[in-house]
Amino acid sequence: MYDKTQLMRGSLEGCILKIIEKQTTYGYEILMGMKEAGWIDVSEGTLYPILLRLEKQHYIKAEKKASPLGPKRKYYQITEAGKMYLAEFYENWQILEHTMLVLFDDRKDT
Amino acid sequence: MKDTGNLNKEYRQVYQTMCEYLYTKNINKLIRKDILADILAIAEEGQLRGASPHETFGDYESFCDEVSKNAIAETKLETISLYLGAFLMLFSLSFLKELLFSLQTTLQLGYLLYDRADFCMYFTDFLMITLVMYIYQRYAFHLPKMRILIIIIGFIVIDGGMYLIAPYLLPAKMHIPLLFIGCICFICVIMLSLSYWLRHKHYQQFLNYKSTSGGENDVLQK
Repeated sequence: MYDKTQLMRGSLEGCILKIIEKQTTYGYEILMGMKEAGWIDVSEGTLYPILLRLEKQHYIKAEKKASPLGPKRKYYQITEAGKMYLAEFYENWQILEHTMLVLFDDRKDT
Repeated sequence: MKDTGNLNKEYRQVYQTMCEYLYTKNINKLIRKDILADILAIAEEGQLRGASPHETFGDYESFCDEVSKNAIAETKLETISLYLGAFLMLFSLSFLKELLFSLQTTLQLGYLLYDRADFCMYFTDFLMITLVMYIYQRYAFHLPKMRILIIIIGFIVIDGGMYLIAPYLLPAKMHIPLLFIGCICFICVIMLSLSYWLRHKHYQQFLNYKSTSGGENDVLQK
């Protein structure tokens, strides 16, 4: 049985950054965005370590703000470095997608 | 550990276990404080939404492992200076306590007469606080009810071992020169100050970078 976790690991970061790029947002909202896009297996537990890594690498910055639900929430915003990283990620993704299509559809490389 | 008053029993137990486990991981202590606050906020929001701890975090141990992998680590120098400082502090306090009780005799002799039993006791305390508690917390997600045995067995092994071996290695009464005590206290202060300074420096570097809203990848990345 195919284990898709490795495939997911490589793409989660880019997807999370893309959601954050659209607007300043928080963990649960990012999770909802992921689920709407079709990522049904993710939880906040999956997202938080990735958000930590992105913050450590300064691709996003975080700020705590008051929330209507009670505890203060961490809101994430993409940085310039994050935008550059996202652009590179998407470029590499497109190359990979094309390669996969060529291989699996038996199309000639154009 | 943050105030868990808002959490129900299930979430509180999970959160406390995560705290214990993350204390054994190599994370900058100030960053760890922030992380634990974040995890508490995630738990509180998860609870408010009616999700179970498993639905919120997934596998707890894997979650903590991923968090520690992606957090800013403590440098080797920070860790060594902290543990060395703590070790020396224990003995500094012990020496100073003995000095207070026997100041006149010590000044007359020029050295402190230090009991082997006291040395064993403090050394055992240090190993219990560091090594045994590390093992106890490391297995936070496994055999929770059996973990108390780790402390009991650890205490028996370390304490018993010390009292069995010490008579062959140390005299019943040790002559500790006052200069040596002074050096121990001095090095203790230096080590603890160094650990404190390094920890805050790395934390501040991270915060400063955040506040200047990063433009390029930087040397702080690990």
